[in-house]
Amino acid sequence: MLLDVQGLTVRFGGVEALNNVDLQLAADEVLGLVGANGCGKTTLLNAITGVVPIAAGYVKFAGDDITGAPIHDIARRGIARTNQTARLFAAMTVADNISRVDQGSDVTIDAVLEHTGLAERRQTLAGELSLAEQRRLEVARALARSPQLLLLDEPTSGLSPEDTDAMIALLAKHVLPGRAVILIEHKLPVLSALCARATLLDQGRVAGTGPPAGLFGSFLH
Amino acid sequence: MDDFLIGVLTNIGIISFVALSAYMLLLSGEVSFGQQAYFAMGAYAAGMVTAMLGWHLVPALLAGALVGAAAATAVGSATLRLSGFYFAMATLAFAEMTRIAFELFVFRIDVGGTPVGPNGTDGFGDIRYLFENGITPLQYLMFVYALLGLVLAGFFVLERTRFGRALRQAGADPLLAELQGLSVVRIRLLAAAAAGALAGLGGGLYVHLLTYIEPASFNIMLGVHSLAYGLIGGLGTALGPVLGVLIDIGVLESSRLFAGYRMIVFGGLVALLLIVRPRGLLDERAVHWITSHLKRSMYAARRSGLDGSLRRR
Repeated sequence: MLLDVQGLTVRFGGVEALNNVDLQLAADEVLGLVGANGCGKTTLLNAITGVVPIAAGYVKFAGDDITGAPIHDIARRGIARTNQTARLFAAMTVADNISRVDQGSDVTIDAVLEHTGLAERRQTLAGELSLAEQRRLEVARALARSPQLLLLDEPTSGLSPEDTDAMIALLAKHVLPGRAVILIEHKLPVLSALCARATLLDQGRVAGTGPPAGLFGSFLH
Repeated sequence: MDDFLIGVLTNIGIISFVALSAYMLLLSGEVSFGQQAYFAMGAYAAGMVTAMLGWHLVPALLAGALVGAAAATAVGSATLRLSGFYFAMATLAFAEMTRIAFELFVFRIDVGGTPVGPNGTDGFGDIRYLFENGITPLQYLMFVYALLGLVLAGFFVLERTRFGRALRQAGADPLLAELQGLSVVRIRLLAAAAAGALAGLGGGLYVHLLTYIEPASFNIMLGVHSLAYGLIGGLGTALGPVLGVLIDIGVLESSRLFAGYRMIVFGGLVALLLIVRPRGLLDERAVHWITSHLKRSMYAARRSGLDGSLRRR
C-alpha cells in the first residue's frame, strides 16, 4: 500500500473532526471521498499533509511513518494537493506558480501547461485567471511536482457543466493514470467517471466503502 | 554638482541599503521594525576597522556586512518561528536592546596619541577615512551608487532564481509554500541573514560619510522609516524601496517644501498608500504591467527591424 492510514483521530478543542479513520490506497488507485459538508473530508486531507495535528493514529506513506512530520517534508516525499477554494500565488504569473522551487522534476512546465490548457496564459498573473483556469492551475501546479499521491479537494466545485466536463477529461487523461489519488467530490457523475471505489465519511467516521453510485444512495438516504 | 545635492544623493543611496534590508524581509512575509540594529552594528564594526585598526574601507564594509548577517542569523534563529505580530515586536525589542547596549559600549584605544573608539552615549567619532585618503564627496557618492547598483543587480538576478520565487511564495502564502515542499522558516532565515548583511553594509557606508555616530542615531524611527520605504515605493521590485527613499529624503526632507510638517506628510502618505495600494506604488501588478509592455515593445521593435531588413533584400 502506498498510503496507510490507521486509527486517525483529529480534534479541534472538544470536537472530534475525525474519529478512528482507517484508509488504504494502492500506488495507482483512485479513491473517491464523499460525505456531507463538515463530515471531515478536507480535515482528512489536512491531516495527511500535516496541516492539522493528529491526536491519535498514524499516517504511513510509502512505508514511512509521516505522522507529525513538517508540511514541507511530507510534500517533498511526493504528496501534492489542491484546495477546496482555489489557492494560488495571485500576484505571480502562471509559470511562476507552476515552476518547482524545492527541487527538480521530471515533468517540464511546458508539458504541464499544454496538458492543462494554460500554455497561452503562461505570463498572466494567477489572480487574473477565471475560476476554471484557476482550478486547472492548481492541478497543473500539483502535476509539476510529479507526485506519487495526489489529493484533489473538489476540483470541479463552482465550475459550469462545460468546465466540469473539461476538468473530468483533464483528470482522466493526464492526472489520474499511474498515480494514487484521493478525490473529494460532491457530484456523482464526476466520481463515477473517475473512480471505481469511494469512501463515505459521516461525522468524522468511515461509514462505508464501495462503488460511488451505491455510496451515494446510502449518503442520500 | 553642489555639495548639498551630493550630500542628499549620498544619503538616499546609503539609506536605500537599510530600506532594501527591510524589503528583503517583507518579501519573505515578515515585518521587522529592527533593521536599524544591524545598520548600527555594521556602522560600529566598519568604523572600528578603519579608525582603530587603520584598515582599508573595503574590508571594513565587509566586516560591517558580516557582523550584520551574523547577528541577524542569530536573532532570526531565535525569533523566526514566531508569527507576524510577535516577530515584529521581537525585532523592535532587539533593536532597542542593541541601541542601549551601544550606550554602554566603551572601547577606546590610542591611535596617534588620541583615544579612538566607541564611547557609550558620547558616540564614536574621528572616523576620518575619507578625509585621510583624499576621497572627495563626489567620489564617495559614486562608490555608494556603484555598490547600490550591484545590490540592485543582485536582486534582479535573485528574482529570476528558484530562491527568489520561493521567497515570494513564502511571503505571499506560507502554508501554500510549505505545501509545495518549501521550508518557510529556512527561507526566512536566509532572507534575514541577507537583510542583516545589507543593513550592515549600509551602516558601514553611513559611518564613513558622517565620521561620527552615536547610539541615538539608530533609534526606532530609522526602523519605521526603513519599513515604510518599501510600503511606499512598492514590493514588486527592489526599485520600490529605493523609490520610497527618494520620495522621503529626496522630496519631503530635502526640498524643505513641507518644512516642519514633513513627518505628518510622510505618515499620511504611508497611511494613504496602505489603504489604496497596500503593496506600494511599484507593486507586483504594476511591475508585471510594465515588464509585459516593455517586452511587447521590444518584440515589436525587433520585428519591425527584421521586416525592414527583409524588404531591403
